[in-house]
Amino acid sequence: MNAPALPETLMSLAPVQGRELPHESARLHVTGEAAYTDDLPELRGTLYAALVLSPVAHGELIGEGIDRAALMAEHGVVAVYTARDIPGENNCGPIVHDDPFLADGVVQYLGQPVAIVVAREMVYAREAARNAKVAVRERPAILTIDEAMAAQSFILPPKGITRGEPAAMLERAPHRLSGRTHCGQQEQFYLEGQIAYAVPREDGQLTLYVSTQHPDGNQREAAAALNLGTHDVEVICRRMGGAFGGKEGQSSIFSQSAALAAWHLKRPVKLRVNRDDDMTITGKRHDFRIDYDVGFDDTGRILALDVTLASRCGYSTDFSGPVNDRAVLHIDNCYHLPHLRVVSHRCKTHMQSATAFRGFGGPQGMFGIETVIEEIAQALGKDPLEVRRVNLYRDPAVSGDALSLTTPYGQRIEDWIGDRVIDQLEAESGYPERRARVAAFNAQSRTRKRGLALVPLKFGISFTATMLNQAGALVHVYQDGTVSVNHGGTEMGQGLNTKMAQVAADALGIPVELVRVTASDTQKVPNASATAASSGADMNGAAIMDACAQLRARLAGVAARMLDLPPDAIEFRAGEVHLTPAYRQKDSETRLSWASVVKQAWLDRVGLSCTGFYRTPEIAYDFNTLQGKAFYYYCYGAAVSEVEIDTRTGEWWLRAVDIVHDVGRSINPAIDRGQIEGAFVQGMGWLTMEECIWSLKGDAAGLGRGRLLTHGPSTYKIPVAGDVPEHFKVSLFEGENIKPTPYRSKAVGEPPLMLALSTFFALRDAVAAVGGHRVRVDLDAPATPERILLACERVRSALE
Amino acid sequence: MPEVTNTVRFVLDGRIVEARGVRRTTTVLDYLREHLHRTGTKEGCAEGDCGACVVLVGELTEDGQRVRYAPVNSCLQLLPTLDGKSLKTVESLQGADGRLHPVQEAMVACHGSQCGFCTPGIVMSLAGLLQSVAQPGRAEVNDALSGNLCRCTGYRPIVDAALQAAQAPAEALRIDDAADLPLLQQIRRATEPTYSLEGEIVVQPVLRTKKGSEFVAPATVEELADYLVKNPDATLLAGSTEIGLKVNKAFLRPARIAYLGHVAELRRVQTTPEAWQIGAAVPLAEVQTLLADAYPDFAEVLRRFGSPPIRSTATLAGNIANGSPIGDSMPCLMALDATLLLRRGRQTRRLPLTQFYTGQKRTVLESGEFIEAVVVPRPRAGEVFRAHKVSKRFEQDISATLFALRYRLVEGRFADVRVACNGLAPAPCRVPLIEAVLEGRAPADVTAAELDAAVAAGFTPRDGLRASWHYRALLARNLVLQFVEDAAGVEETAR
Repeated sequence: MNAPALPETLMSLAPVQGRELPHESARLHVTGEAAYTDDLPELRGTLYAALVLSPVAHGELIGEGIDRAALMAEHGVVAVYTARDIPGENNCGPIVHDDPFLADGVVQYLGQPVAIVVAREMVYAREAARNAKVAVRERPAILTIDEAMAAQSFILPPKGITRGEPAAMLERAPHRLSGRTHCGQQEQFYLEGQIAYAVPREDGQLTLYVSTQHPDGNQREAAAALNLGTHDVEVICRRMGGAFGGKEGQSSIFSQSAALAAWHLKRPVKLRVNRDDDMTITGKRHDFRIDYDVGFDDTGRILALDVTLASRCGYSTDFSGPVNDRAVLHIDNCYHLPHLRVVSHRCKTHMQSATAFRGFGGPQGMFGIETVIEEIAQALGKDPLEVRRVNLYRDPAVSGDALSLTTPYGQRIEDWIGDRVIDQLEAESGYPERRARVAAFNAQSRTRKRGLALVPLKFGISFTATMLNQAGALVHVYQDGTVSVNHGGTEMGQGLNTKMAQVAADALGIPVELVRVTASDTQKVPNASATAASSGADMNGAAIMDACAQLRARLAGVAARMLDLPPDAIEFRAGEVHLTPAYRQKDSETRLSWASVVKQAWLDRVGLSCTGFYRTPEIAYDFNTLQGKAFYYYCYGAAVSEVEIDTRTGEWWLRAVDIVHDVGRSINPAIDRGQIEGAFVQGMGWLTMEECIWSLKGDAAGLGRGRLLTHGPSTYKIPVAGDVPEHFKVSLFEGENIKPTPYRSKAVGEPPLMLALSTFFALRDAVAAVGGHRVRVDLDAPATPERILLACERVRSALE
Repeated sequence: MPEVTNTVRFVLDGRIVEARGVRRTTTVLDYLREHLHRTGTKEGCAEGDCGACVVLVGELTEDGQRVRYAPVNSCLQLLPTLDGKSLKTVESLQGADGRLHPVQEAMVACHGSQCGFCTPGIVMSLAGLLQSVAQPGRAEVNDALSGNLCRCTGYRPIVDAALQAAQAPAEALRIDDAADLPLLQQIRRATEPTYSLEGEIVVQPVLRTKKGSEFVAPATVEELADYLVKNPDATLLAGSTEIGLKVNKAFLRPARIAYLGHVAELRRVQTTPEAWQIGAAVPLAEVQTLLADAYPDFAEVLRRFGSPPIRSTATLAGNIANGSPIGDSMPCLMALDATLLLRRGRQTRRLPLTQFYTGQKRTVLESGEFIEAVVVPRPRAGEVFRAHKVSKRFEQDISATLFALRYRLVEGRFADVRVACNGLAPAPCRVPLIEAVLEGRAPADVTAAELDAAVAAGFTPRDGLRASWHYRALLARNLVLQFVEDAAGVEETAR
């Protein structure tokens, strides 16, 4: 096993690190030159595929479900395939193999692919697929969490954590309250829809161009479906037009279908689904029903908490296990919960399989605990920030409680800075004065009310499946000194390749212009984990550093021979060879250029290509008991949102947002700020306007239900520019990762999504103002104008 | 006599593109991507709601000396509508020397792209804005981007980029179309009807197939009217925001499409002291400007109706003819006593808009009849017009409900009250029961309970996709109540 050489490179000079370089593709983005999968020049003979979808949420297919002859007779149709045409394994389930990519015998959601239609033109394939009649005997469907709980319909058995004596402590607590809340589903809404382009190669091999976060998964699953060796299938992805978790497991549905057709036809086959089919076929963020029973003291300290989480997982397992685990592992957020019982139910419903989405269960868990905090504050007539503060994790040396910095899953928090982040934000945002101003506004305003909330976050970084915490890289140095870097991660807009170019440039001591990060390719870096769990830069960066350290050592040897000095005299900086201080006669004396050393290395027959590898150390976690060191480290952040609502229409305005967020020592502050702002707005969409609406009314027999009615942006609304306030201030918390990640940076992809909880709770605060903060507020997410107005109405009627 | 080409001809970056043998329902987006392999323009939704496909369509100004650009969603526009026009895509912006347009440059400098997929559309929307507005403020930038979804950035850097780009010199911002101008003049469409030797009008086809399917683009209203009498099954196409959607999503393939965009009369507004007669092909963007001073609430409704690419193509008549129960313009027009000018052949008739609908998406239009113009009365002294739309998102969203109110105050009491709404009935409608609550009453005397009773009596409760009945009923009462309370501050005029 390679030992990553991180501490050494951390010490080295880092001229590129910390620079706000633009995205490596920025110029290509703005000119339209950046090529996404659908933009690649098509090969001669390319055919187009479309999917026939189940028209019912649950049923038995009659025969193979379609009339092949009728479909073949449609204009332009070349071939039709169903599950019967799959020579190997019919599965796209990433963990549990319970997920056929083409329905076989039964259909379990409305929109489940039943057949592939291949035609000369995309429009013919789509039209034929749409007109296809699916022969199915419909059965009643389970659709909602309530229905699933009543039927005890689960995808996986319930799981949970008990710490201390929650039942006894609940009984003894001076105050106690219980309640129920919900947070909704969310469509990933990557702007580039799902697409796969399958190209047959010689000897039965395939190259798949797929818009995916997980080339390796697509590769293995396509190979398994076609009884090929994994080495027979290559998956390439240069970039995605967004992914957000939606192209982690579920891109396989499309790549396997395209691969199947291309393999049978020996012709290139493109499968690009339109937006409606994409939203109808693929899974969303899990929605949660959260029941809580909390005991607390006069200060608002939580003495005991009993929480039951129930989430809608859809018809197959997908990532629902780890998503719900993460919800359990984030039920504490920043708070010490001494006596806790949390149970997580994973409901099986006849819907698309709910899947990964930025935050991966964490946001839902935190939504639960933050609702509890707000409830306590309201019950005690306190500012919720005060209640948050008294419940924060604390150094045991100060608190006198040995467990006050240990999570319910038994991990000692080594890097706690949550309190400092809150302090900084409270000061920067002027929270106390603004609280007073909001109160003053509300006192004089009858129909408009304002709300304010400061919500902190702590988010654990690592895949909870320990084996996924590994990464590989492949670095080539060419004779002219240019460098090609490949790693197992994928570029979906998060700027990973920009950061990786910076890391490689620094690790080799060369200008970043010499580095090109190439398309993700399973034939360059094998067995790579999905680019997910915010792990991309940490793990791939470390693997690149490992490769670069080896190359650098080899090249230092070459330079040393050229200068007739020992290798420890050699230092690479900005594309030049310098001498280390011990050997330096004059400051910054340049002895050789990088390119000349590289050229000499080639002449000397020194290898100029190297693989790198990294595995995250320390983590040790039992996902059966939900105990252990689940995370390598934590990210922290906090946000203040100020909102105004119209209590007559439920319309609302986000007036101001202030954020302090911890990214460690940033590799690229501009990119990190972009991730923070983008995640905030995406989270704000989840909590306020994005709503998946289903047809839940059926006929007398309960049939005809389960259609997703919001399957395009005309009905599913994500935030636009006008929804973002002019006052949108983001500060990066000054600090560094205590763990040796690249430059001691921290992950940034997912954590800031949860900053948007501040917007939701500010809205809740504004609704509470209708009742002078004396009446309990009942507000579910998403807090649409309708929910806000109805919540105001409930407050008003409680006042009467 | 102008040449019948059977070919769509448009100008693209200094050359004429002749598109032959394309389906009449081929979208501009598909033509760009699949035929020209010009893949910078992206498909994000194919329904005009994400903006990844925004391009600029240019038309000669009246004097023929300049090109006026409008942002459009290329996913909705059918290629034959481009005939005689010019097209600018994201690939058009970069100078021959490789220099980026100021919008592109600022987008790079401000870190305005992440995944980059929405970026071409955003660049085009902003470049389009800067063709018509010299120094846009934040609100104008937000409005220009109201139809551009970005899922990555949170928009802040994009808005910053727009404001930064706006500082560039005007000549750097201006789209270079020197080479396009003479070509546009060359392919300009006929403005007069063509007559056969027998003296009959020959409607100008843009495309016509052997099977008889066609896309025609008449130049005059007579030409159009004759065509529709002969072909009452023809689909009328104006902004393409509804037809394009049906083409993409439901594979609509009308045998005959008649495009209104070249009918000169229909693109005009006739102004009299009493009213504006707005031609059926006048885009909403123009209507918005026209009404901004007289009816600011109406203009705001139109602003929120759709993004600039929608507003630059969609029309009032199209919204009315489509007849959606949640159509936004109709309640405003009904409250203003707007009338329709309907035409069949040489016959025209005027009809109050309130009498137009007979049910959900059903109208009184007869076979071969079409809306020639919408007549909107201008405000008379003392008249107040209010309208407000409630939707999940403020911009480019569909109404939960929209209420419009017109009144005068006479001796402190409401007079000539008109209330109209959408979302509560199978078609947009006036609400006589609420009008009755207000008429003759002082604003302070109107109570919520009376309004509740009027709403309960006036409508059949019906939960909808966009809102529950409970919510809509509350909004109905509260929106009217808000207008009534605001009326207390309105200065009245004597009768």
